[in-house]
Formats: sequence, structure tokens, C-alpha cells
Amino acid sequence: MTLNGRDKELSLYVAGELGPKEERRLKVHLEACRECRQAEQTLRNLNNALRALGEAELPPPLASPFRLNQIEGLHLEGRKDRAGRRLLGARLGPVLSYAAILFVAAAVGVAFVIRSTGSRQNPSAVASRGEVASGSQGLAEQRPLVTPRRAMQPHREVAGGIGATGSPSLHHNRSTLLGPSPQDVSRRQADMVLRLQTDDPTVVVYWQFHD
Amino acid sequence: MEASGQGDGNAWRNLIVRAKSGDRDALDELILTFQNSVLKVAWRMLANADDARDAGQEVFVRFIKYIHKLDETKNPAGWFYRTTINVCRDLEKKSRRQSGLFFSTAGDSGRTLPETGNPGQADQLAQSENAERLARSLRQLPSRERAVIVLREIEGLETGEVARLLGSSEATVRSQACRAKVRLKRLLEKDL
Repeated sequence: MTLNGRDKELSLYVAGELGPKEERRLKVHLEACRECRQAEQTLRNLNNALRALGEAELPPPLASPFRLNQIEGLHLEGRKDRAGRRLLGARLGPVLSYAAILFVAAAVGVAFVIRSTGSRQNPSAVASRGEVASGSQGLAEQRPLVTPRRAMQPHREVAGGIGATGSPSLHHNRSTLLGPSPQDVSRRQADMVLRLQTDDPTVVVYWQFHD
Repeated sequence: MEASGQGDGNAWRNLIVRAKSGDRDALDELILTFQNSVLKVAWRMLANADDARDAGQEVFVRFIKYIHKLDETKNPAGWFYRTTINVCRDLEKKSRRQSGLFFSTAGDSGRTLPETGNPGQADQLAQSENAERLARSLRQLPSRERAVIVLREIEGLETGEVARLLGSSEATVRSQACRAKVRLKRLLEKDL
């Protein structure tokens, strides 16, 4: 949109930003020109209306005080903002420690698998531990703990309840950290159980080896 | 809220220093002090109370994130104004990308219309309707011009201050304000 000279001059005049010489000249013109007087009045009304808009009360959803804990709360209800995460670093500390524990548990599991596989590839080492019958026939009949095609899948459960602390930050991160359904492997079915004591609840990691 | 160094400079300094050192009460006080202006600007920029609240929240999260970079010798009002405008622009861009529209035309002015019953209330209603029309028209301005109108005409900041906050010259701000007002006038005439 381009401004014509009159609009621009009138707007500056109403805002009091016109130079003294131009102002005098415009005043003389306004006395003679009805149309420009109307345009000037419209601009003044618009300025007043805008000023009144600034004085208007905030609507109810915005009128309630914005407190720090409220921002955190809202943030945790699902907003994905890194700033807030940094802000809540202290709260997320325990969650990060659970993640670290799970990582260690996964590493132990992987090491376990590698060791098992290695044992199968080195009969003498296995035999020396007395875990299988001696001789190649006995070794062939031995059912391996984990075959290469078999996957090891961790199933995780938190005893003591991460969510039970009542902290929204912990609750918020529970699904991402722990996965949605840890119920399909019970403690009895688990091949390996890791119990890790942390500051807050005890984290129990169940591992089951299956096809 | 004014953007230049008015008010008690020491009070700002103390509050910001305390907030930087992790004092939540100081942080809370700063947020309480500026929230009204932040929300007003956001509301006028976005013309929707829910969006304005989202914007306000984002502004305060950024405030908390960047408070360590804040110069405690300056009134943080300028920072709040600039960030609010930027956040509103970001929200608009995001909303435009998601909806393919410039922005929702169903914005609200957030006003509750008073019930009519006597002449005074009728005047109030007329004023309220005019304000709603103005808020609707304001929303149709390009965001740069809207920011100039919101900061200069509605919030009452000086032209130089607005230029500094928006990173442009005073002449540009004057020109944008003129253009925005003429555009507003035409939009209001169309909305009649």
C-alpha cells in the first residue's frame, strides 16, 4: 500500500511529529478544506481508540497472575521446549539417573549375550567351566542360552513407582523413559533381574531372553 | 511498563542479581511485574487470549533461560517488549505453516460485552463493539505494522524506543505507523 502525501502529512500532524513550518501550512489548509478536516478527525478518533485499547482490562484468561510454578506446570503438561527442560534440570536429575541406570543395565545385558555367544564359539572355554558335557557331541546337543537369531529384550519396571512421587516432571518423563507396557514379563518369568537402589525408589530391571 | 531506564534502577539491579543467583522469589517478582504488559502486547498482537497466554508463557520461559545474559543495569522492560513481539511473530508463522492461513480470523478481543439496560450501558456496549472492530482490524495488519501500532499507539512508547526495539530507524517507524493507521481506517470503514 502506498501512502498519499495528504495521509502521511495528516498522520504526522495528529501525532505531533510535523515540523513547525509544515504544521502552520497544514493548519491553514485545514481551515479551508472540509475533507481534510474530516480525515484529521478520523485519525484523531483512531488514535484515541487505540489508546483506549491499551487501557482496557485484560480478559479473564489473562487476568490471573502468572507464577513461576504455574509456568513450570504448564510446561510439563506437554510443551516441548528445551528452555523449560533446562530450567527443570534439577527436577529431571533423578529421571536422568534412571536413564543412566537403564543404560548400564542394557550394557550388562549386551555383555552377557556376547559372553554367551563367545562361549559357544569356544568349546574349550565352556568345557573348562564344566557347564556342558565334554566332547563335540555334547556341545552340539547343548541348547544355547541365546542363539544369534534370538533377541534379548529388556522389560523394565519401577518398584516404588516413579509416578508415585507426585512430581509432574517425573510423571511426564515416565512414558518416554520406561515404555508403555512393562507388564508382560513378570519377575518369575525373568531370566535376569537387576535391582538398583537409587536415591528415591528402587529400579528393578527384568530381562527375558526369547525368540 | 516503559522500555527505557525509568523506575528505581537499584531495585531492578537487585532483583535481577537475586534472580540470576537462583532466588525464585526474585524471579517471581520480575514475572509478576512484567506479566501485565507482556500479556497485553501479546493479546493485541494475536487477538486471542489463549494464544496470548501461550506467548506469555514462552516469553517467561525465555526470560528464565536467558536471565544470565541480562544486563542488570538496564530495565528489563525493553527485553520483555522485544521478546514478546518476536514470540508473537514466531507463533503466527507457526500457525500460518500449520493452517495455511495468515492466521485464524476467529480471534477474540477478550472482552465480555456488557448487558444493555440503560443508556450508560448502551454507550459501553457501543464502545465495546468499536473496540472489538478495532481489535479485529488490527489483527489484519502485517505483523511489522501491527507491532509498531501496539508499541507506539497502544503501549505509548516513544518512536525512538520503538525503533530501537524493532531494530529499525525512527523514520521507518513513523512511516509504518502512518501506513498502518491509513490501513486501519480503511479496514474499519469496510467493517462497518
